[in-house]
Amino acid sequence: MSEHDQHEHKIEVKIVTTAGNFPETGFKEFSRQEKLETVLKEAAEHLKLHNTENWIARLGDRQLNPALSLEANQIPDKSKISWAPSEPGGGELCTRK
Amino acid sequence: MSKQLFEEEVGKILRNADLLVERGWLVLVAIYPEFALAVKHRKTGRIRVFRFIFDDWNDLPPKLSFLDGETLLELPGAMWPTNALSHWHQSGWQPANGASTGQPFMCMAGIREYHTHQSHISDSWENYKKQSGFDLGGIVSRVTEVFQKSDV
Repeated sequence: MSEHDQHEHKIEVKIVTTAGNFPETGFKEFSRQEKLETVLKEAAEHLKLHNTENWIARLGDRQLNPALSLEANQIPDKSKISWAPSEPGGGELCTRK
Repeated sequence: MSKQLFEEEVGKILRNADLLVERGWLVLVAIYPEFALAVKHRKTGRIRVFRFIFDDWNDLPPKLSFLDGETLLELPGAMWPTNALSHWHQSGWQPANGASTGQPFMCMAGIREYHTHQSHISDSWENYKKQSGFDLGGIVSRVTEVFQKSDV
């Protein structure tokens, strides 16, 4: 595969969190076939984040699927992916009389 | 210690231009113990101003209220968001003694009104404060993401 072809199979992304970004500046290159969860795991290690199993990755309004590749998630080149803890539900007990 | 931790964690948010743009956050006040930001609801375009009070952070979780963006007075409960998952309550916060109040509140771990609500006294903040996602930025993220799913 030529250098040009290899480049065509790459994509640059950044993971954005309240603890910091991965990479800190610019973007990091990954294969389009790389699973999003692999990218997020690398970001978690870099940012020293723990227990991120229930965090949600989002591109604009669209929630991404970590089990799918960057390509299958339809993530464009030079995307900034927002990654944050999720909140499953409120407290029914608050309204109990 | 509380002020130092507040300033460290707020600094991470203020220095992160990508974060502010991606989340649609406009920080209005970041002076200990107050952190106030305007957030645009992605679906309706409505803007709400969130005010967190981080006094005694992180021995205590923050208090949360909504402000009128023009007057900076607290918003009445009727102007608070609603959703089907019982996060938002437009009135009825109850302190430990069970007294009935008309105070609106957000029912979510990490918010002081939740942990001091009569129904949740047993679910202590101590259970959460060292967990990932319950630092200052994590709590603000949780609240604003629940807001994004609300019917504001």
